[in-house]
Amino acid sequence: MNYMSEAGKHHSYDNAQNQDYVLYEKNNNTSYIILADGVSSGKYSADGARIACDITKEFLKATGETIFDRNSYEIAGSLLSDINVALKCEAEKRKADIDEYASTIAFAVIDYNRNEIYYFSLGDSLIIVSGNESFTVLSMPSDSREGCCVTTTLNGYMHSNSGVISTDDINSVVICSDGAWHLMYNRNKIDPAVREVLIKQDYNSLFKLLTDKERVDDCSIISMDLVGSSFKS
Amino acid sequence: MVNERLTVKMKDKRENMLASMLTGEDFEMKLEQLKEAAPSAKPSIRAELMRMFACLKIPCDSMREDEYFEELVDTTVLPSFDDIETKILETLFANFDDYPTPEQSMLRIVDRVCDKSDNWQDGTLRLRILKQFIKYGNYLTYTADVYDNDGNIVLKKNGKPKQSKVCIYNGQKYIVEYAEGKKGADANSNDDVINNIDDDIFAVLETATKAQKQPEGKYGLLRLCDDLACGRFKAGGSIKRDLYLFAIVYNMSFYCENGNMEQILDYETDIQKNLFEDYYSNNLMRYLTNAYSGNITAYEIDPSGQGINYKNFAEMVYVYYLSKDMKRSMKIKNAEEMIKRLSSLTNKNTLNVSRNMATRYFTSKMTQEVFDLSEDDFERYIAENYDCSLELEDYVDSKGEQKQRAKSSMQTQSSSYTAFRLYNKLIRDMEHFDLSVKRENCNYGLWFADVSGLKKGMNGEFFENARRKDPEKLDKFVKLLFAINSYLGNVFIEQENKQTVNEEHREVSSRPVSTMNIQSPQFMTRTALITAYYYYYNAKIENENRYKSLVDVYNDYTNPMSGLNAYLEMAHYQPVNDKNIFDIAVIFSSYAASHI
Repeated sequence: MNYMSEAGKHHSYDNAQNQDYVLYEKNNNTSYIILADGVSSGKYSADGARIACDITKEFLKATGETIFDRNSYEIAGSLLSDINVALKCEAEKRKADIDEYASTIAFAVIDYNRNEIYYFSLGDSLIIVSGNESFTVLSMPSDSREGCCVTTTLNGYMHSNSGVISTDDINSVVICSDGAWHLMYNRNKIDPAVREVLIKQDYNSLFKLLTDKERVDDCSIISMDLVGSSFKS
Repeated sequence: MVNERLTVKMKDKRENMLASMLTGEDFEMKLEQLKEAAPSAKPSIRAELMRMFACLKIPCDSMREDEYFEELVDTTVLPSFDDIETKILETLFANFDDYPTPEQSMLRIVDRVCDKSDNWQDGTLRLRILKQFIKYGNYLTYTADVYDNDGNIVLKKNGKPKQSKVCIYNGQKYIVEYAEGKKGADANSNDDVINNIDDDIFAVLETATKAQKQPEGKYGLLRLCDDLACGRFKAGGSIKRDLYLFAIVYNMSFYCENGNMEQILDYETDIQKNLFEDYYSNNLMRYLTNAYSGNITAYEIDPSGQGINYKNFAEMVYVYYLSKDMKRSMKIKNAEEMIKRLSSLTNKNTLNVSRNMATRYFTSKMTQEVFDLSEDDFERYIAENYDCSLELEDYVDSKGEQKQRAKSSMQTQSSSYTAFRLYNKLIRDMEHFDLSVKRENCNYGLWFADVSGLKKGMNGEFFENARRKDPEKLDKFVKLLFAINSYLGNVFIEQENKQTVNEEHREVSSRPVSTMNIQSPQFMTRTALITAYYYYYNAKIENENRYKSLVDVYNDYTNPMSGLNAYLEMAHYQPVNDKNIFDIAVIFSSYAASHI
């Protein structure tokens, strides 16, 4: 399990609080990694990202293995429904609008018995898998030119992206917030230096490459090694 | 460059529009469907109910039993309204201003893809585009070797290749003179020119002759920038070339779907998404601008909506260079020269792309491996696999003589055979539902507004209220309704004649609308395919006589297996686009038609 999460320079409220949140859990049968990126204009989106991750963790525990076999819209609809109930409760305490808590949400579940990975993304996070000296984009960031689809978007589940893949030839799964992948990519192509460290799963070097760059947005990456770990956060 | 992109929440525009049309009856009918559905079908109906409740901002969990939904419907105060047509007019009227005009689309694109460090954001859009062509495209000019008629390089006395200046667009001389006039001294560089031009440079277009505004004319480049900024699409295929040149100077990206596992689709800079879907489309909001005033025959009235044409060799060359890592002016030069060489091959591959070799065949061939080839190998690949011949067209010269000339390379293989086949299939299927319905009768246009009646006067509750609140906005809205209706139907104008009313109606009702009368793949457009589907769908639901909510109609249209989206995808057109007012209006109109 490896992660980095650094605050960006600019937020609507200029308090430099990191509005990304990452969560992970690993046990003998399954592991999961979760990442949420709070909306920059959301006053409480850091809390919203944390709540989204916590609810997702509970949802994954409750759903268990069945997540691999259920209808994707059902999963998405139910998860977002749970998240919105929690966000609404929190918003009412502060007498705030629920949109102040909005965030993206992305996760990957690895089931070691089934040898499968379930991935899910709502918003502009990037999910990739690497192995055999290559990497593959599993879930691309959504179209955010008119704004991003987030946890509080009406019928947001219809805009989510999810799927199941085999763990064959895969050594690690990585989720990147948009602040991270914007630094990793130049337009639509991966930076050659970033590519080199990604296929080697050398996350120390990846972390250094990204923190050396000037960034406005929060920058978070979380990865799960299926085979071993070579990174210290 | 500092990355300024931050996460912003998307507006719920589409869902809010759908929500505004929901009624209690919609929920009741959906519950009936849930009760009668087979167990395997229930989850999707529950999901639809969840979506409908969510539109009204009522929390709902789709993974619950039927009784949960029954109780939710019973205990929730649900909306109702009497007049669907009025409701649709009110909804569209409240939202149509949010749809971008072509100019607004272009402004958004330029804001996204420009290099912020150039600091040109304060200039007018056409001026910004002009500066971009100057700095990164060298005025769309380059120097190239000269070849003789046998294809051999012409050498100078010193043995070096003779070179000449190639102007894709003329206009550099006038622009430099203008800048020097402003500066009061010679301009020593392109940056010098850029720093000394302003929007007044375009004033000359108002009095320029037609010849001066042609690409080879004195103000060709100025005209190009003005057209791009205003969203004017020149007829004859040249607009696509202009867009590729634009994409290159703005360093836009191309996402190859085949065999590329590492790239992402960068929506901010992608050429297909931004230029060929959002910008170069049949955006009817242009009717609310002055862009198409004057000589509209010079412009495309209905852009094909085709996007990147993988059957066209020239477009593949542009896409290839777009993806290359080299100086932008070099990309332009190398692309233009490669296209010229391919066009003039003497032993051309005479592959005649038959109707069975659909665009899909070429889309599958153009893999990332092909785009990674060296320039020489790529050129060879295109020569071996593509029809690089230029189609001929008849024209009348200045002496009145009938002659033939080669069309632009962008017009090679531009016919949409698959789309035409699907279009005709839809019309045949429609006529099958109801033997009395023929394509000639399919001209009633918008169902929720009597556009013919609007010519006589705008009566009715909606128009009276809107006129009272915002007459200027109403005028724009009515203009838009006419524009939308012009693609869907005919307008019946009462005029004095000796015919009876029935005879007049029979005549109008048998005059096909142009989009329902496409006779050749060459004239096929996305708008025509949507219009055919519109009439097909309306005939189908009348035949089925089933209740449909607006959400149901929207889902039918966007169903990727059986709806309009399925046809659009097969025809290689973009799917139903929430940002296109025509697409949305057509769906609303089908909804109104389903409630007669």
